[in-house]
Amino acid sequence: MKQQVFKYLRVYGQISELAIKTLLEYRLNAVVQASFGFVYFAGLFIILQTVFAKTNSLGGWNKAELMVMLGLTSVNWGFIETFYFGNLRRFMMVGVANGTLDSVLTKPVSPQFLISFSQPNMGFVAHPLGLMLFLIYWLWQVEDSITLSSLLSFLVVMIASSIIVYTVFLSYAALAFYLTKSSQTIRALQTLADHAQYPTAIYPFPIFIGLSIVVPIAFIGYFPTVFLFGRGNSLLLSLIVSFAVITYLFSKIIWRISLRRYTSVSS
Amino acid sequence: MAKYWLVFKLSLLQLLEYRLDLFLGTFRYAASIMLLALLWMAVAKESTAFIDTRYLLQYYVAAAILYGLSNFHLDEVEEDIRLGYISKYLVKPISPFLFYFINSGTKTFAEVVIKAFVMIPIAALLGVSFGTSLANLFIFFCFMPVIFFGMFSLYLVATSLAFWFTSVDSIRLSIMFVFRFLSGIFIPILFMPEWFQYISRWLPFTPVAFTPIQVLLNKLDFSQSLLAFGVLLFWSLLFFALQQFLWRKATHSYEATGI
Repeated sequence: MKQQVFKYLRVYGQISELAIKTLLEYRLNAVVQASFGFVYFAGLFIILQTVFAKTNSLGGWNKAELMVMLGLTSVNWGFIETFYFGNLRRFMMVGVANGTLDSVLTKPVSPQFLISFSQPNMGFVAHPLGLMLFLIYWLWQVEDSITLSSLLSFLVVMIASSIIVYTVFLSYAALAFYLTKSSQTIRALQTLADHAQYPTAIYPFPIFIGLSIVVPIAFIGYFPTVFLFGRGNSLLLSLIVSFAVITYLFSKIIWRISLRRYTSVSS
Repeated sequence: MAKYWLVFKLSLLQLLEYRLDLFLGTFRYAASIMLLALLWMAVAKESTAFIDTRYLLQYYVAAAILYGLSNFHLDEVEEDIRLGYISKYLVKPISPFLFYFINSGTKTFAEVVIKAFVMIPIAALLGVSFGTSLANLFIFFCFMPVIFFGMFSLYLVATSLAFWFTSVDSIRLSIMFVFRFLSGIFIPILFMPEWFQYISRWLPFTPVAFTPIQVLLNKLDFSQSLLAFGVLLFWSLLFFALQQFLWRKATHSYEATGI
């Protein structure tokens, strides 16, 4: 087990090194890419500022709390984008259709690992790291004190949410085995993720459920923030943890079935 | 002209080849923009200032339909430049600009039409109608091709940089995001500070979304519409001239071997 972990860490280290070299190959693009996340974040920030020019609270959240939600969402999404989202997008666009999956299947590493993490988007990594300062600033501004128990439940929800978001996205990526062209599925998830910065509960109930289960963007920012400010309860916490277990098992089964039916001819 | 008609037909067939993908691609932004409408409805509920929710719904339905005209990707053009496939257009009697313009234009307008056909009846079921006058509808339709022409020229300017810098997708995406936020697609410009509302009249952003939507909703008189159309035309021609200049400069020094 320990050897396996070291093996994967070593592989990931080499993958990251290669990703940095590839990024620096086109330096202008790398600079723009690094600043691009901040431009986008500025847009999301302007939307929230405009909202709070019209009201003092939204769905029971004040400005500072929603800024924390925005910061947390952006940091989480930044890590998702850096580590695996681009890989899943690429896999859905060309992985099966162009036959590049074959080269993954013949390597002595888990195909799921290579498909998810083989090309990290290093141009994006400055984005979540930089936005942590924004998050810390607004956490400082929040009047509610964060207790130790809320912090602990927040950490549990963060871990569960990371598993949910990754495994649901991975399950959607398995559609590539069944559809010749499925890139818009993952792009739709990305587009809807722009709404992860708002309290999901402000939407009508069916949409709230949809954004929590079908497209789990509520787990990127909303649910972690709910627990950070001690607004969650033990029932919700256990539901989230159970959902993480279910999505994990579901993605495992989906990938096993999909890989079993995969055949390739001279790619 | 026959060859460009063929490009149009082929682009349409290409678009209809993967129908689920077309469906998701067409409606992902529409869904996203409708979520923004719901956000503003929630704001209106809690706000002490008056926010016209009916106007907001009309606004975002129109924004969802118009969205595609300024938000499209030219990845294929960049790939053609990077991999040298652009050579096939340079040695054959076909204009690369017209080829890409018709190819992207067909796909973009087909998506806009599909969205309009689906969203307008849904909006009507929700009790949202536009009540646009015939004259304003005509002006609105005049805006549409010019918006696409201007945005296509601008994105092609950014894409042309691939002749020098190879990979420029981030530059194109950054321009697209700036337009998304400042054109009024995400936030009606009326909610922005007054100084921005004033200067935005002369910038290329609002004529791309906010102004045509205002025309559709009968919020502008004829002279205001005409002025906005003039501003849009000016910027579009400027982007086109810049694009032609860059393209000429690039193809002049372009070399390809063994393709």
